[in-house]
Amino acid sequence: MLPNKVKVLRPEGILDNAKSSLFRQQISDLISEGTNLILIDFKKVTFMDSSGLGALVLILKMIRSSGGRLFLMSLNDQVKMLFDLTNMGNIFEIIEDKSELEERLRNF
Amino acid sequence: MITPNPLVEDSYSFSGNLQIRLKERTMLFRYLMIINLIFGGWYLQWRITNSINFSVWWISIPLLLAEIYCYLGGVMFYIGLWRPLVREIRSLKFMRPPLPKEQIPKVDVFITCYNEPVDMVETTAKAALKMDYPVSKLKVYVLDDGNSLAMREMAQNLCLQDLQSPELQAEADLINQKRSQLMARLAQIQILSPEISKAQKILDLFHLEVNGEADSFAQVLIWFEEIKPIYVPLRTWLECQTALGEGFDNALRHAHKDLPPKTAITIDILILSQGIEIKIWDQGKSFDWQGKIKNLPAEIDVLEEHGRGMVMLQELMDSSYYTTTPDQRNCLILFKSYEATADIETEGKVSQLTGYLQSFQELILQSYPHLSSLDDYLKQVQQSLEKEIYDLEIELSNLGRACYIARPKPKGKPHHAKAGNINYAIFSGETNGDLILTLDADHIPQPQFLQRVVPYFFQYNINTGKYDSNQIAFVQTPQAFYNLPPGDPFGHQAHLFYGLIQQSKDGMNSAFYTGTNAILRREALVNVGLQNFSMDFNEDRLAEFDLVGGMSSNSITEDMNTAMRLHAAGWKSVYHNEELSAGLAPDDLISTLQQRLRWAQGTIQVLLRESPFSKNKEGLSFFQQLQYFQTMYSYFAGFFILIFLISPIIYFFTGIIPVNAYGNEFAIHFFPAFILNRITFTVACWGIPAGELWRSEQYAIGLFPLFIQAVISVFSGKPLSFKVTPKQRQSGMFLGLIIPQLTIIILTSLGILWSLYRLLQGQLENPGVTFLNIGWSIYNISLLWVMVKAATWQPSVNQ
Repeated sequence: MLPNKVKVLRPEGILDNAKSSLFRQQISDLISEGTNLILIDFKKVTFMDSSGLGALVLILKMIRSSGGRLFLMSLNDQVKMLFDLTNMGNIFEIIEDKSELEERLRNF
Repeated sequence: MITPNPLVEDSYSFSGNLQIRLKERTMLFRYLMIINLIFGGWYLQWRITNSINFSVWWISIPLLLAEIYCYLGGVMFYIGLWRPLVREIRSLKFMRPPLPKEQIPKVDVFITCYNEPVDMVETTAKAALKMDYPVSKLKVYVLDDGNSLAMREMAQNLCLQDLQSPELQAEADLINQKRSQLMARLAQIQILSPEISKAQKILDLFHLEVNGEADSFAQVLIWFEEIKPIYVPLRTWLECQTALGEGFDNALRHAHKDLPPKTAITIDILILSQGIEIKIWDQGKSFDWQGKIKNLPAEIDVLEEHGRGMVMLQELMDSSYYTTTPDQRNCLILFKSYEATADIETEGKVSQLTGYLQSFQELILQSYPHLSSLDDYLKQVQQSLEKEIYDLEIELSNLGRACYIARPKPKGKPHHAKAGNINYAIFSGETNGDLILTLDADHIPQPQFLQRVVPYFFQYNINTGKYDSNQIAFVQTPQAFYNLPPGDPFGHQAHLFYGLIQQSKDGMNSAFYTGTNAILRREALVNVGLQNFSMDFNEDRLAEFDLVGGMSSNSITEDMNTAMRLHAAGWKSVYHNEELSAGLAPDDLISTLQQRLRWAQGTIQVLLRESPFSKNKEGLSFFQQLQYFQTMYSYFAGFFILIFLISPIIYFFTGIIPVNAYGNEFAIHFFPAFILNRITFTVACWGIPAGELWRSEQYAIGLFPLFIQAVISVFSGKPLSFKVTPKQRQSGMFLGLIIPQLTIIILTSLGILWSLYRLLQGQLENPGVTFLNIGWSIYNISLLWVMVKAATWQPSVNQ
């Protein structure tokens, strides 16, 4: 079971500039409520561009500064390609499925 | 009728097309003229200081003024003759290098008529059509200000006859041949049309236009997925998809930042067998993409939020360009090559063929950047063929070269006479020649007319190796007549004017345009007409624009006025001294008087309304002003001639002498100047028959009442005209028209007889002065006698 304090977000569709600012607002609200473990499930994201990626970096910054952790899950091929291209793969904690998350939290 | 001169070009030995030189004997003339003017000045100075008889000031002062007037007129006349030019030019056909066929200007011949006999106009129009000129470049317009049915029918018949001539038939065949070739091409294109539109449907699958808003990208993605061929590797496809997203984002957020929301963004994708090209079209401002790329940081800090897009595009794609298209859109062009998977030869065949089709379309669009599809190209080809065919059809229907134009002449509105007639033709839309040849109804042009004058309008540019058009606004040729009776009783021969005087005016770039036998540059005429139109613009003028917008309508001598405006606007002119047409001179006294009165009135009108010194004539050079003013000045001579004519009469009957000294002193001062004047004039007029010079001198003096009338009528604003039908002989005695001249002749003769009588009676106090006056009087009578001859002249029976 996932620890209760992990908050899961499931954005949908295209993660571009317009969407990502909304998304950032959501996360900033979550952090101020005290959440410090966030999982973004990319299962329903069809496409992400550089703005979306930029927003993710910002989100990562916010969470890190409040001492939390961000996990990304179920990246599709396009997003993976993008991470690959930009060498972001080793900055974000990217997991395959929820069991991997549990493992990582345990090892923490 | 005069017979046409053979063309003599091959005998020209000069290089180039034009040779200009000073007329022969000009240097001698200049020397004599300067000496003459000095002696004349000396005489005048003596007259003013030593010889005025103040006791009879009422005659002595006017006589002195008359002499001063003549001296000043003479000074201007002689200075005006300083630089007479002789021009020789190669005919159009013989130009070196030849003028390219497409550069040969279109010429409209305007035959202006009012109520001349139809057969006269027909003769002129036929001769104009016979002129040696490319048939498709020549049109003849009968501008019938009398609006007569017979004239219209004549023009229509002439047009039909002309169409049947071998030259026009050959031209028609040529056009028809071109037309049928184009028709064949059009038919072939039409066969292709359904295929092309099917191909276009396939091609359209790779073209998408969406509203420029964030939500549209979902639609883009769906479309992009649909067109994916199976043989593009997944990785490549994803890279292209990502690049597409970046490019779309760039268009939306940067290019369209200041544009209304939803401004369309267009995407084209070319899927070729070895690469993918993505084109994203926006409508924003152009942007230095390449410059930006050069300055991109080598690496982006992984934790940076912005500035990643372009770097990513660089990494994702093989190349990127950002260009601005002719329709002011920008296009981001991205290219990514790939190696097709093995499927391409099997299941990918259709997609591959589509790729070929796409590359074919791309080739066409690259050649015609304003087009956006194969269909457009087809349409363009089709339309241009149709246009060419249409143009040929128009050309065919315009082959008729004899046209008739009669303007409407509403009552109560000014018609502006001949200027109105010509301007209407210019602005009616029916005429479009580059050059306009104006001919009076009776002036029959010779076949070589255009060959001889058109080359003046071109200048060879050795830098470009082409002919450029120059600043020549018009070329005037002489007026010759074919109906002059023996002895020219009405003094129409004008070899002095159409010769020395015009050549000298030409030397100061102020050749006179005399309304006929001249060819004008339409552009110059319209430009200057518009300038003058706008200068005194008001609503009334606007309503009559088509009558006043070209040729000046400000005076009844519209020709001279127009030329002056052209010169003031910086255009140049040419006088070409070769008789290229012949017309009818008025052959009775009344028409002659009417013509001369019109010239006199018109010229003085121009002086009053548009003097060469007025503000809007600043463009005239000093010598141009002098030339124009000299002509205007000469028309005031009538008053002074009268003084010269009545002085001896006064002497005969009263013994009053307006000059103090008539003895040796007078002779010393007067005769050198007088004799020099005769010699100078003779040298200047070398080659002109003495009889003709005498005739023109007679008319210059004999018409004095007409000059006086002209001045008075113009200054008082009262119109003055003789009611006649010009160009149709009036027969009968016209002594009633020359009463002032008859009076002078009779009084002078009586005076002479009276003096002789007194001489015989031994009553004469001063025989020397009397003989001087008798000599003077005989000279006066012999000058005036021409009027009596003209008034009583009858055509001989066999004429």
